[in-house]
Amino acid sequence: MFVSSGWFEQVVSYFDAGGCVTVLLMGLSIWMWTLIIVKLKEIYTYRRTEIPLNECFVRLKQGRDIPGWQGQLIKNFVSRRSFEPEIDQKLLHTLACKYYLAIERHIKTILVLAGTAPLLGLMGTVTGMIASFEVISLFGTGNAKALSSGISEALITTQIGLIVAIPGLFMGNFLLRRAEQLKARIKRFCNSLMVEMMSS
Amino acid sequence: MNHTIFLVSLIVCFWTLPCFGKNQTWTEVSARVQKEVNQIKLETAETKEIIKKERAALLQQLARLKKAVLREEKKFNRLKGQFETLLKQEEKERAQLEKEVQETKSLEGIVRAVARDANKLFQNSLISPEYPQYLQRIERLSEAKQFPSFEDVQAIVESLFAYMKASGRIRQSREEFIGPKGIRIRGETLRVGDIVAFYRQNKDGESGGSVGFLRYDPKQRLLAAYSGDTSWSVARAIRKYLEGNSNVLPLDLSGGAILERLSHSKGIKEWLLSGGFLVWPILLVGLTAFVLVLERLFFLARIKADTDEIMQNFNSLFSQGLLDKCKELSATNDRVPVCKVLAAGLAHLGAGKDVLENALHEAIIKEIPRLERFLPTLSVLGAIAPLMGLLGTVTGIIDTFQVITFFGTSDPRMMSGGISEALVTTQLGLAVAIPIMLMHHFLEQKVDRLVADMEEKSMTLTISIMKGEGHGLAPEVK
Repeated sequence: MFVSSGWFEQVVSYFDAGGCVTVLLMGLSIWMWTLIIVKLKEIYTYRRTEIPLNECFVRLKQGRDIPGWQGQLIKNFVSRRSFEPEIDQKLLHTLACKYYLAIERHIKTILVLAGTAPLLGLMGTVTGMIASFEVISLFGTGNAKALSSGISEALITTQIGLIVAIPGLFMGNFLLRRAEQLKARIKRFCNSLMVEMMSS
Repeated sequence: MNHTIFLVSLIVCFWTLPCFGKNQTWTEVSARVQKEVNQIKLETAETKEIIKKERAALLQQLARLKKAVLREEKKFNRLKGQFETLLKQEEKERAQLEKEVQETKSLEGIVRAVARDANKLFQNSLISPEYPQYLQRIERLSEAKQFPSFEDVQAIVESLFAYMKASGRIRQSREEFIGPKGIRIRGETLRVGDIVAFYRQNKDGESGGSVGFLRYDPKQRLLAAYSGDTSWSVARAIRKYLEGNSNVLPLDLSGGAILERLSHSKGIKEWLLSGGFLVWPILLVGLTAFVLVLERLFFLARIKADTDEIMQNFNSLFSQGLLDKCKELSATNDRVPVCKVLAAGLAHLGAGKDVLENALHEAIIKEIPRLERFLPTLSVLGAIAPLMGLLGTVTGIIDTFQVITFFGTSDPRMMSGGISEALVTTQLGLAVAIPIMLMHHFLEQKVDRLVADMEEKSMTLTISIMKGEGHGLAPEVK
């Protein structure tokens, strides 16, 4: 073991002790966090561009354009409406479904990746334990140095697996809740829009 | 002197005694005595003379003898001195000898030690097969009882120098070595100093052939290939070097320790076989899942997820009342599930709203099993694989503990070997399960998207039909 000076070497040596499973875990983690960041930005954009219902309808009456998804929804709806309440209801639902899909996308993937990370960690652990036991079967329990590499591999991979999984699960569930809220808001908006359209 | 006088007087007495018996006259007697005295005197004188002579002779002899003694003493003294100097010299020589014996003993010890070191060096050296004569001589020297001769010392020096020279060179040759299967074969060998040696198994003048590392086998006095496979990248590097396409070689700087370790390390086959019989069902699960995933990927990849274009065409045709064209369109794209739904919708054009909706719904429900085929199986396989692995591990560990109940825990090595083999199934189970889970998720997502798309399009169609389009009565689309 070389004595590491900077934090970078420390990190590298830490991952090096974990064996090849850490590389997989790192890849998985990067993928997961990319998705998380993308989703966060997406949901945040939906929220940011949203304007209160009243203002929305005021703008609609005045003919000013409405930003974000609300504007798109209204535009699509107006272009294809048939002035029959039942059909219009269906149409709105169809239009909203597109948004639902877009919002839900990747969140399940994040949760699945977060669920896979501890399994990968476990696999690394098993690999490390196999290495340790092999060392014991070769050299007996006397050779502590040789033993420790296998043990450190075993522990570090589990550690990394959990480090990847816990925030991943947390963020995944957080995003899931946010997505549900957003879907509910879209639904409410559709209902209000329907009422508004019918009344006008 | 006294002796003689005493003798004379005795003789006189004996002479005279018998005479006293006769009647002789004094004079006669005295004359006779006188005569006798005279005679005695004469005799005495003679005797004295003799004695003198003898004495002189004796004295002479004495003097001679004394001289001789002196001479002898001188000689003795001289010799004694000589003897002492010789003694001293002997002592000195003895000490010298002692010292020299010590020196030679230590010298012999040094020569032996060097010979033993050299022997050890040559026993583990890749260079040995090239110098069999040195090897034999050094082997004999390191075990011999006799005193090493100067030629022997020279031989050691020569062999060490030869070793030094050889260990600084790269040597390529064709020679006999023991192949990876333990049979003697001829092939191309490449020795890099005393660090590492490679072989390439081929006939004369042809390229290619399997390559690998060599070690020295002291029993057979030949180079021998390490057992176990050479990894692909290393083999490629060796081949490239042998063919002269690169000047980079993989080296083992640990003096063979790493290669020894690697040759004992397991390949994938041994790794699988060590896991026990449950490895095979897990592999079967993995293989089945792989086949199913491939089938689904092909099936779903052929289906367009983005059906907006088709729908636009359909809508434009439909609003113009060209129902035949619509049917044709849905028939040509019969791979796309949406088109089947559309076709179902077209079939129920004249019916009421509820009937139409039900028909469309039914069409969608008909499509779903086709899309979702094998997906539940996949998820089950993904769940089964780690459980099987766990079962294998538990079984293996039970076996190990049974061994312990028989033989006790005297040796942790016996135990840990069993445990490490037992863990292989868990490892394999997880390795199989994780990809299955991920792939299942992505396939499911794709199916969900397709179903959602179908629902959306069926709604669109419903709306179109309810608007009264498709009979040519539709209002203009704004």
